[in-house]
Amino acid sequence: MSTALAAEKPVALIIAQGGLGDQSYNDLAYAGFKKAVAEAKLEGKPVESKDVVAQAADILRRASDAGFGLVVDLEYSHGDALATVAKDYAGTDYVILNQVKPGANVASVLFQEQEGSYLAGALAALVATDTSVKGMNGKPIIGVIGGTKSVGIDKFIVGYIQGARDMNPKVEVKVAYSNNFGDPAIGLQMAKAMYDGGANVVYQVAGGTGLGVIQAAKETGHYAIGVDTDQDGVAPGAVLTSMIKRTDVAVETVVKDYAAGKFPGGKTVTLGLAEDGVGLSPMKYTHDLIPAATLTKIESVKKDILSGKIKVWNVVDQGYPDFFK
Amino acid sequence: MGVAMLPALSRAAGVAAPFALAVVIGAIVLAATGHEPLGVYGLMASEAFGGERRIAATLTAATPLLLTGLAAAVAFRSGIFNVGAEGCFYLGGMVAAVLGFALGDWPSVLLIPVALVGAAIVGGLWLVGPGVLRARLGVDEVVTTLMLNFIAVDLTSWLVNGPLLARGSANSATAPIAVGAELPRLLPPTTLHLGFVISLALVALYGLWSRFTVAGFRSRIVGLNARFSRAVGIHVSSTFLRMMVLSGLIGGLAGGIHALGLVHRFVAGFSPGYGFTGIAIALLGRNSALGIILAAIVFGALSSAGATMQLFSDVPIEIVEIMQGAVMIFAVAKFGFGQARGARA
Amino acid sequence: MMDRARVAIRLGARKVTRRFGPVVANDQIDLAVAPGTIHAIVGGNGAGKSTLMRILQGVDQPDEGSVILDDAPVRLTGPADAFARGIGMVHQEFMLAPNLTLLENLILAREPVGRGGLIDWRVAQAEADRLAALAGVALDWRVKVADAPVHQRQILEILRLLYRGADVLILDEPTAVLAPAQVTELIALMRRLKAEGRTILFISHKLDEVMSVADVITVIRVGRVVATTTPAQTDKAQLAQLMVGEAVAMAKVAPYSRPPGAPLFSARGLVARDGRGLKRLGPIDLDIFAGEIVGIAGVAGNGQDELVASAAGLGAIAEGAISFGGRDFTRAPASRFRAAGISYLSADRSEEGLCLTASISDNFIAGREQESPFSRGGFLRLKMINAGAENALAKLSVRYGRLTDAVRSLSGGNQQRVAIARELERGPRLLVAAQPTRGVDIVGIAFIHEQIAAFRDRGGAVLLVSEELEEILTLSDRIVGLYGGQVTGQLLRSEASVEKVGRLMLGQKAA
Repeated sequence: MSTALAAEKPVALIIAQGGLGDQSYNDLAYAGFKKAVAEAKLEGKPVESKDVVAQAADILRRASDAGFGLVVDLEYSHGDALATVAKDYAGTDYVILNQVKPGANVASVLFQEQEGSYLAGALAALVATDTSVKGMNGKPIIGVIGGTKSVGIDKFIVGYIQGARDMNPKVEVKVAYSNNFGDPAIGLQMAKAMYDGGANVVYQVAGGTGLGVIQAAKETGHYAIGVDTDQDGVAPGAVLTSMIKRTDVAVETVVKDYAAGKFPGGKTVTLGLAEDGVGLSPMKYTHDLIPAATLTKIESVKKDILSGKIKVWNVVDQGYPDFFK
Repeated sequence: MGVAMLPALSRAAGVAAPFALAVVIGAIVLAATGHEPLGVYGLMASEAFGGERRIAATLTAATPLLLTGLAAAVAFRSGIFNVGAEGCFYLGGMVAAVLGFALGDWPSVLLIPVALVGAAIVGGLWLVGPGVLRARLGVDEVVTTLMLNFIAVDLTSWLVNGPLLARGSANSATAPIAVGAELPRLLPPTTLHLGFVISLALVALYGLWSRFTVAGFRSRIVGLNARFSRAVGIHVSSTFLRMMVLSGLIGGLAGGIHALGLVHRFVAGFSPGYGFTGIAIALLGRNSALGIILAAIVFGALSSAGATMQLFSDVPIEIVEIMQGAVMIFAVAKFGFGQARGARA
Repeated sequence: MMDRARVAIRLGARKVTRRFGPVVANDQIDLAVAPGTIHAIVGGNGAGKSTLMRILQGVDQPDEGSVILDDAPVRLTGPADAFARGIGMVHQEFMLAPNLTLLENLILAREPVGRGGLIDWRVAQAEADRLAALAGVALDWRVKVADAPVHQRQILEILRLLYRGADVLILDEPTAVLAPAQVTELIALMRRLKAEGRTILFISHKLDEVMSVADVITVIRVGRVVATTTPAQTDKAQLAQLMVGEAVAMAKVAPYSRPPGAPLFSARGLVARDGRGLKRLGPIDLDIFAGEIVGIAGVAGNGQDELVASAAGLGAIAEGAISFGGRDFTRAPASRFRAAGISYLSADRSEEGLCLTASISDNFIAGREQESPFSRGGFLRLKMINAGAENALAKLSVRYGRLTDAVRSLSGGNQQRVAIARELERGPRLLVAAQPTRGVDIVGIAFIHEQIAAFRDRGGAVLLVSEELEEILTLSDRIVGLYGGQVTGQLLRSEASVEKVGRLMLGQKAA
């Protein structure tokens, strides 16, 4: 396990499908990785592959054989392979994201996406009924489009609905699934249907398909909410805010912990609002459209979550709540 | 018999030439980007073939390519430009994965063959449509099989994000297959699995089939000159259909072996384009068994070394992609003036 | 053109040698074509005519020696260069755009441009009329090339060269596709062009035409010039001997006696379409008896292709019926035709008669791969195949290196022998022979004729389609004229003559 000596070994970052240059998940994680590696004066290598799914065990073992002290794996499909390989290499530490895998030398990183989504839902519900905000019809209708019906995605959706209902119990949240993470055309179509049905704001939790949601907002003069990275700039003014997952913070944190001999092996690291692991974007383009009182309200809601006054429902841990079966 | 008896040396040169050109281009790019070509190539060679584990990694990477190359070759030699192996690969992988967990309590000796045969059958059925359209109506199979690739990828993507999504998974993946459905590993702890031996055996079998059987003879003559074949009484349209379906069977089997042997489930991004790489492999190998094996190993080496060499150098993956692309372009260029696309019926 | 009249050699070659590996295609060839003359080049297959023409066109470069233009050696960089120097060539395969009219084809790539950059069609038409008058021909300029008869297309090719300013015309076997009357027309055109001061170099193996129109004749054999002579100094027999280097034995054909019994092959009200779905043949009735050769005389494109395709089971029969051996075959696939004993020698040897890229033994076995003894239980028996091929090829005196060589490596005559070996060795009852000696030299022709006659003598039936009138006259027991898809008449060989068959070919009923 982690010793002072281990920290001198090189570290590797396995890039997920999509590769570097995706201006999203991988790039963000790599930025955090580079930062941590530079500060800890470690040798760090990113590993990309077109065939990353199939090469899971191969790359993990090669890095372990070659004496790497830490391997951070961004590829979701590597979970099982990582757990297996980790058993064979007690001298190497491993990090897997967005899932929990066993092993004394494995750290799992989870994000409290429901917390950030709660804020997004609260903001959406507040502005929907506020006709002073350009383009709002005043009806308490908002929407969310998920990439697939799964607990991983419903974690976002339930947080969003909870936040909206806490602001306005009469709010109607339209929910739909695209069953696809890579087709903007589907996202465009589904979002347009929601806007036609009176929705003022639609939250996208559907990767590439979600870009179509943003496009629909831009075309119809409504609002979208981005996800994972700051997507406000994708269509300035049409993206109300983005629910950012700070993958960079996550990677940076675990690499620094490793360097400091504090690797959280066998533990699950959860990054929520408190750790700055999730949160809303700075709203560069929409900040001035939203009444200051609304923004203040969101800030106070955030404080309530941090203080534990508001408990945000976590589908992964708690199962489905009554309001979303 | 016939063209198959080209001197082995010139055949080897034919396979090697595009690769050699790609090495030269890669060296130029490396030098231009401030890397030391010889050092990088040395690293690449040792990551591809340096020791048992690296060789195993290379052969693992070559496994799906052996069969997608074979799928392309059986079609090409009959004058059918089937580019649909990618779609068959996806469907075959999906079917084998689903059977692999749905029938998880079956014994391995039954489960594995059933899952693989299921994968092959779905791949074969998938190309019946283009086969019939080509054989009966002369509809260009490039268009139909290419379109079917998109449909297959979208269909499996929809299934894996919807009805077949593993419970509790945030990402697009089916449940893992039962342990009993996994193909045995040959050299633990490496990922080299029985699928490599199966694939190699099938390619070798194809080599014998193409030279020594009536069906192999007919498919070759039809591929060389369909009009001639018709005039001497060979049934051209049924040959087209048969070879198209055979190509689909092999493509589906390739996906099944990949699912049971390596990935152990079906996930989004199941194939990074094995079906298309298979086209380059068939062209590079000139549809011969030996050529397919050599070309698949070359591409497997580029793939395995390309990933892990990043652990030891600052050479980006793009250099490997440039080399792969260059090999493909030269393979196709060779094909362009080497042999025609096969006489059309 | 005036100054050119003063040169001794308008176009020629001086000691031109061209090698392809060990083969010397042209060996020290000297050629001198004087301005304002018609110069013929004759030679058998593989004599080196094509290579020489390619060199004179600048398509190929000599290894030694040089091309001569206007008495001076030049280096031609390509056909465009040759054309710029006044040399134009009409190839055997016409290079016309089928979907454009004759007029459009004439001016293609050299359009007269009027105001505003548009084509000046009045100038174009005037030019076309002037050329037609000069050539003494009448053409309907508005017809599409695809719909124009073959001889008009050929005239168009010639006029196009004139339009573009060529004064030396190279014609490659210009009469191969023409009926006798049209040959006469072409020869008249050549004479008029000569009177105009143009120079013509033409390649032919039809010695009658060469003797009647050429001023000078150069004979080439195995890459060498073996004689340069004039019609006054030689005769047909001598030319033939020069071409082949040995005395030519003509095929001996037994006299005709009507075979007894019912016809083996029979077509009733047969109507057939071409590849584009147009009706090209029929309705016709045709019977072929065992033990006779029925020759179809006609100019290309008058329904022969469709008749051949129907008889070989490869055509789209639109109406009527075909029977063979008393059984209906109208809708049968090609494989059943073959299984019943119908063999087929295709006129398109390179695309249909043979698979050029496959080996000699592959070409021999193709279609019989499942028969005993060549395979057993789905597996080929390579030894039996090779033995069978060797045996059959030896019978036909095919000269080849190894059985594994691509059939493409053989000369035209030997290629055709491979096709004949395949088609006759399988023991057919009917042989459909289309242009069986196209592109074959004199020795080869005689040999092939012997094979066909011998097959007939063994009791085989033959449907012979040929554009070579001489071949039809030599081989056929009965001659059937085909014109515009209709049978124009029938002649027994004893009553046939060139003139009578020529009339059948042009749609005039036999007298």
